[in-house]
Amino acid sequence: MRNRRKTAGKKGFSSVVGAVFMVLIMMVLASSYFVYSLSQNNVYNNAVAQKNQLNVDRLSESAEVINTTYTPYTNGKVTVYAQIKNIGASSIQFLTVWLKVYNASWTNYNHSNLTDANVQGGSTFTLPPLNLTVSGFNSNFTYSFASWLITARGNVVPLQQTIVSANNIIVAQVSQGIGSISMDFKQFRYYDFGSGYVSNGTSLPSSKNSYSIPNSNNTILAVLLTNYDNTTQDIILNANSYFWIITPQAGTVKPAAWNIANVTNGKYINSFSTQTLQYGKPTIVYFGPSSPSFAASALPTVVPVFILLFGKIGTDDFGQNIPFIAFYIP
Amino acid sequence: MVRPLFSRLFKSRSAVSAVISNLILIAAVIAVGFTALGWTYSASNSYVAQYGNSVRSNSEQLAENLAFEYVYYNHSGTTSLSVYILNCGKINAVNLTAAYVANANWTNSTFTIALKWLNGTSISSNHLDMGQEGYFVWPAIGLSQGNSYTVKITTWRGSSFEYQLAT
Repeated sequence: MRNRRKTAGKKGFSSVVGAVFMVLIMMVLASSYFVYSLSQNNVYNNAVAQKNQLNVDRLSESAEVINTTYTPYTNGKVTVYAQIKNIGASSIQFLTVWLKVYNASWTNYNHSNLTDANVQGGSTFTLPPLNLTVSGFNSNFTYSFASWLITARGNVVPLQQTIVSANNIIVAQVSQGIGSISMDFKQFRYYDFGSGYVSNGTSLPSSKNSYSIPNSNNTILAVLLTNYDNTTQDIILNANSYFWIITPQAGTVKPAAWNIANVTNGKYINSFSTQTLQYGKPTIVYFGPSSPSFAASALPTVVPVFILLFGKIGTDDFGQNIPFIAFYIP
Repeated sequence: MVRPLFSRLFKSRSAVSAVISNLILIAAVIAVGFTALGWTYSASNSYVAQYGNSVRSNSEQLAENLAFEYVYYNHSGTTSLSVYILNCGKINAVNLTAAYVANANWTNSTFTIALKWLNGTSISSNHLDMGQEGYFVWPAIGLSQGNSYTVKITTWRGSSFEYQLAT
C-alpha cells in the first residue's frame, strides 16, 4: 500500500528532473574544464620547455677568439681578420660582424653580414678578411678598434680590441713605395691542360697549388692581386701584361711568357680586352696558356718569375713588376 | 467493464487541476534546466576561449626573444639613439610597441617605432621574423654624455628586453 503511494505520487518528480539536469550540468562543466585545462597546461608546459631549451642552447654557446687583426687604410676602410674557435659542444652560426672605431672625440661603426659562417663544436672559424668602411678616419690620430660577432642564438662574441696609431695606417703608403699591386703568394694556382691545344671556351681543369710547373704542358697561371694604391682608384690592366720567366741554363737565356688572359665562368676565352683591379678587392688575374718548353739539357731548373703588369690608373699609365717568385721546372 | 471506467475517468473533473499543475511544473523545470544548461555551456565556451587565448598569448610571449646587437648614441651630431636588434626567438612577427630609456634621475619613452633593415631600408611590415635583424632610430633624444642608461623595448605580445648603455 505504501509502495504504491510512492510510485503513484507525482510530487517529487520535478525535483528529480531538476537534479538530473544539475548533475548533467556539473558533469559537462567539470569534465570539459578538466580536459581542456589539461590540454592547455600541456601547451604552456611545452612553451616553457622550449624557452628553457632556447636558454640552455644560448648559454652553452662558447667561442674563443684566437687572433684578431685590424688593418686600417687612409680612405676609411678597415680590414678585419679573426679566428674563432668554437669550444662548446653545439654548433654556432655567426650572422653579423660589427666594427666600432673610436677615440676620445669621435666614434663611427659599420657591420657586415656573414654567409655560411657555421662552426661545429671544436672547429675553428676563420673570418674572411672583411673590408668595412668606417668613414671619418683621420690618419693623424690614434684610434681604438673593437668588433664583435652576433650569433644566431643572440650571443655576442667580442673580438680582441686594438689601439692603432697613425703609424699603423701605412699599408697604402707602403704600396706607394714598392708598388700599388700586391700578390697573395699562398693563392698562386695553375691549370694544367696537358700537351694539347687550348681552344676558345675550354673549361679550366682542377687547379694545382704549386710553384713546380710542367715544362711541356700548356698551363694557365692564376694569381690573386689586390690594388692598394693610396689614391683608391681602380687599376685597369691591358693586354701588355705578362707572366715572364727566364732560364740561364744550357748556355742560352731562354724566356717564356704567358700573356694576360680572359677566363670567364671557368672557361678560357681567347680574346682579352682589359681587366680592372678595384681598390682593396682581391682579384684573380689569369695568364696563358703557354709552357716553358725549355731544352731538356736545361732541366731541372729553378727560374725567376716576373709578373709584368701594365695599364692605366685614372688617366695615367701604370706599370709594375712583381719579381718575388721562383718556379721549379722538373 | 473497461468502457464505464474510461467514461468515468473522462467525465471526472476532480484531479484535472493537479495533473495540469504537475505538467506545468515539469515543463517549467525542464525549460529552466535547459536554459541553465545552455547558459552554462555558453559561459564555459567563452571561458574556455579566454583561457585558450591567454595560454596561447603566454606561450607566444615565451617564444619571443630579442638580442641587442648594438646601441649607438650619436652625442656629437644628431643626438639620436640607434638600436640594432635581432629576433633570435622562435616566433615570427615580433613587433615593437614601445621603447624606454631611463636612469635613476630621468626617463623618456617613445611609442612610434619604425623598424628598418640593417641596410637602411624600411621594413614595410614593421616587424621582425625569426632570424631577422633590424634597427630603429630614436631621433634627438638628448642623453647626457658619460652617464649610464637602461634601454628597454617592449613588444606587442608583452615581452620586454633591456640593454645597458654607457654614453
